[in-house]
Amino acid sequence: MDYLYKINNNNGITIKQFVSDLEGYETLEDLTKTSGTGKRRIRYPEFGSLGLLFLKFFKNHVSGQIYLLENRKNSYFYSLSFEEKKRFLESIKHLNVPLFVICGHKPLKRDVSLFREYNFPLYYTRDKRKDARDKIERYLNFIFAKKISIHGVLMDVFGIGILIRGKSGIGKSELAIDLLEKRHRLVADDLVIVHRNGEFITGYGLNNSPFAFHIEARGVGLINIKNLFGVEAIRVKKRVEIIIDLVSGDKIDNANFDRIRVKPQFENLLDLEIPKYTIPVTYSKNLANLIEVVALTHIATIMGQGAVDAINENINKSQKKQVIDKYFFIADDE
Amino acid sequence: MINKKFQVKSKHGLHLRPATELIKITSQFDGEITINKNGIEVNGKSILGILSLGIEKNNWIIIKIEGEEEESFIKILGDFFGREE
Repeated sequence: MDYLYKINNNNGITIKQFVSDLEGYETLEDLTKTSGTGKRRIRYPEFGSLGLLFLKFFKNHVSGQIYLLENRKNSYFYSLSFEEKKRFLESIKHLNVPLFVICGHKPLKRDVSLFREYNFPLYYTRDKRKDARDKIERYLNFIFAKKISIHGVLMDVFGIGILIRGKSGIGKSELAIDLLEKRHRLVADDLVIVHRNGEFITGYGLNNSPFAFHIEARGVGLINIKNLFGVEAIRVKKRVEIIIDLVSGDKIDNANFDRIRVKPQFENLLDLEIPKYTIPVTYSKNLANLIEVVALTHIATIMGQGAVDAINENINKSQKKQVIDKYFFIADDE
Repeated sequence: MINKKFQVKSKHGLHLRPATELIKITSQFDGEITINKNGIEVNGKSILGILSLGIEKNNWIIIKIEGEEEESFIKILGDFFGREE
C-alpha cells in the first residue's frame, strides 16, 4: 500500500486498486466484467452530479470523475425505459467516466449489457446511497488529499493530538517515552505524515512498515512500543491540534519571549492555523509534565476558560469597580 | 543547498546495518540533511525515519543538504550509496 503515502497524488488510482482497497469496508461487485477496464483511473475525489448529465450539461464533468446511480422505485434512473437509458448512455459516451456505482435494486441484465456495450464499468453496492457516498468519498478524499511528511513525534495527550518537533538529539523521543510512562499514547515517531481532512489536520505514521510504533532513544536503541507498553499505548492516527517546538534553552531570546502568551502563536500547516508553543529545553526541567499542562490548557481554552482571558476579564472588572474585594476584610482574620 | 538524486546500489538496500552507518556519516554534518523517497521526506539524521522508508536496492532517493561543507558531504554520501556490498 505504498501508494497510499504518495505525496500529492495527481495521477489518480486505478479501478482495480480502488475496489481492492475498499474491500471489507464497502464491497463493490463488478457487474459488467469487461476486461481491461481495471486500469482506468479515477482522478477526482468527488461523485459527479448525475442530474446534470441527464440534462446534457457536460461542462461540470471533470475527466476521471465517477458517478453514483440509484436504482430505487422513486429514483429517476429507475423510471427510465430501456430506450431512454440507451439514449442517455449514447449522449455521454464521449465523457471519460471511469466507472458507475449503482445502489438500491440490482439492475436488470439488459441494463448491465447496455453499460457493457458503451464500455462503462458498472459496480453494484448493497449500501444505501448515503452510506455508499460517505464511504467512497471519504476514501477518495484521503487518497487525493495533499500530504506532507514532518520530522517529529505525534502523541495523544489527554485526547489532544500534540506534534512535538525539534532538532535531532534535543530529546523528542525521550519526552515521548516520558509521556508513555504517564499512559499517554503514541501515534508516530520520527516520521509523521499529515494530511488535511476538511477543517482538521490528521497525522499518522507508516503503519505498515516493520518500524511502525518504534522509538529510537540515544543509548538504548530501538524500542518496540507496542510490545513494551501494549496496545493501549498506541494509536493509528490522530488529529493534530497543537504543535510544540522544543528549542535549546540557551538559544532563547529572553527579551522577546512572550512569557504569558498574550498573543498565541500559530503555525500554518496545509493552510490551517495550528496553535504553536515554543518550549525552551534546559536541564532539570520536567517536560512531560509541561506537555500535559499544555494539553490541559488547550482543553480549558476550548471550553472558554483560558487563563489569559479570565485574567483580562477580572482586570477589566476591577478597574470598573475600583473597590477592594470585601472578602479581603472578612475572611481569615487571624 | 544541494539537491541530488542517487540510486542505492547496496545489495539489500538500506537495512539496519547500512542505515546505522549512514547515520554515523550524517550525524557529523552540522546542517540539515533530508532523504526523500516517493515524495516522503525524512530527516537524514533519524534512523527510524530512514528505516521506515524501506529503501531497497536500485531505489532512487533524493538527498537535500544544506550547511557548511555540503559539497564534501554529498561526495561522501555518493560514495556510500554507490557501494555494492
